[in-house]
Amino acid sequence: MKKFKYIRPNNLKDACSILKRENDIKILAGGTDLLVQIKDRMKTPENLLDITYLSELRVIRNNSNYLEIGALSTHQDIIDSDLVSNNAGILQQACIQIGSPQIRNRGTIGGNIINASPAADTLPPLFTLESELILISESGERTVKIKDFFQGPGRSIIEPNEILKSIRFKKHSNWLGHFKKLASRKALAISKLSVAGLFLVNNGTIDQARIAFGAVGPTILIGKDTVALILNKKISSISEKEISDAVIKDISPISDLRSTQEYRKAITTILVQRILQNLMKA
Amino acid sequence: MGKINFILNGKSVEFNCPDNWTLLRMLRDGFRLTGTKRGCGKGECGACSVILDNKIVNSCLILGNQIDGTEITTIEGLSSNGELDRIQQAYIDYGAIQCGFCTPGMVLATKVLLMKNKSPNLEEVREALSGNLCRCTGYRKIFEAVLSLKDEK
Ligand SMILES: Cc1cc2nc3c(=O)[nH]c(=O)nc-3n(C[C@H](O)[C@H](O)[C@H](O)COP(=O)(O)OP(=O)(O)OC[C@H]3O[C@@H](n4cnc5c(N)ncnc54)[C@H](O)[C@@H]3O)c2cc1C
Ligand code: FES
Ligand code: FES
Repeated sequence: MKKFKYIRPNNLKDACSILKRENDIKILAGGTDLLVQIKDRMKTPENLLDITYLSELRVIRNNSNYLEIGALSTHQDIIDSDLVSNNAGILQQACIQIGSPQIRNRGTIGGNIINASPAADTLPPLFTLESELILISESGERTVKIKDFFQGPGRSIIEPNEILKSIRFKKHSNWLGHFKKLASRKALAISKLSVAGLFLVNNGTIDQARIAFGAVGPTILIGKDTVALILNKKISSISEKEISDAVIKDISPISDLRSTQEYRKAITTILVQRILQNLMKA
Repeated sequence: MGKINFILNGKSVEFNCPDNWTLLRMLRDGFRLTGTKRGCGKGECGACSVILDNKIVNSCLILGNQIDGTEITTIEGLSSNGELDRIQQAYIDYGAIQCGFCTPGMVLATKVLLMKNKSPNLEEVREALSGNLCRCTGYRKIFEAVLSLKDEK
């Protein structure tokens, strides 16, 4: 690997002042994206700031309304957390499907967010949960809505001197969530597309709905038309054709190495249908 | 960065790790523990798997300096007094090894699985070994070897 300087801060405050002081510096968490990018020479930072020893960033906690997940929580931490399973099961469904045991033990939710891949699996669930991201720097904290955070593949509004501290969202204990991803095989495969749907259902009628699509656009897309179609309807009354028309309005998939545009449209429709079928069973 | 301290296969050790060395490189070039293999170097094959604080991880995607204060077990740490661990013996008995390149990682992933779950079923074994690729065996014999280690109660 190309040479860089390894820096370990003593605490969060120290980390913020190092980020402000140093120019060519990258934050290192689980390393499962960044170290691969450094090995491939896609990134060549002079300095790496290893935040993995800041255990205060690895806490999952709640108050009466909110759940807050520290950015350094690993995918496995989230899978093991009762707080998450009781209040945001849809996020666990995504984490369970990430990479492999090795990747889940090391990769963090913060790294998944900041790497900003349109195929990142925790993002569609975090969009349906209407998450907020808490960013910290030397000059203080700010909170950003996840829907306003991303600008394109690999790009977000985080400043180079900011650290993602935690992710916060309202508890969704009575909601039914489903995350479905399509990849070429079960383990160790990047999503060709993914759908997250979070619903409040009352006697077979959808009272509230949020849908988000991954890997079908430059960043996560929100399913506005699909939600408008299904709201206040009996699930059983919605036709396949209606779903397919709404889904195609919502997404703008591209053709790339992993899959073609037509295929992505067709499969996204099918995944939405499956999610609605699951809802009827519940 | 300066010296790091950690526990390697049960012994307390110290090392002055170059900043850009991975844990994999430190184990192989620094400690001459060459049982840990380098396959893809990118988290995809699991040949470099080691146990870090009771969890299975890819040593190719961790910096040496990041294991300061932790406990690491490599394949060399499994046998004691020249006697193989029962997992290693089962892999031999079931013909689960051909070229052997994936074996250290497979055996360590098996070790972690059995630490948590004494009687895994086939689905659980497949899941636990899903981060370890084998080019030779077709996996069947590996799964059979692991399933033979179940605690029959
Ligand atoms: C074999 C393999 C399989 C994978 N499979 C999947 C998969 O199925 N689904 C999926 O979504 N991803 C997958 N990934 C990608 C990766 O594992 C995840 O995106 C992971 O969550 C990244 O987290 P990390 O802690 O390793 O990030 P790192 O690599 O440490 O960091 C990633 C980026 O985020 C920045 N960063 C990290 N933490 C912070 C913070 N707190 N504040 C500010 N910036 C920060 C870093 O500077 C870097 O730019 C896979 C990767 C590999 C190698
Ligand atoms: S060498 Fe580490 S996963 Fe392949
Ligand atoms: S025995 Fe050859 S790679 Fe598994």
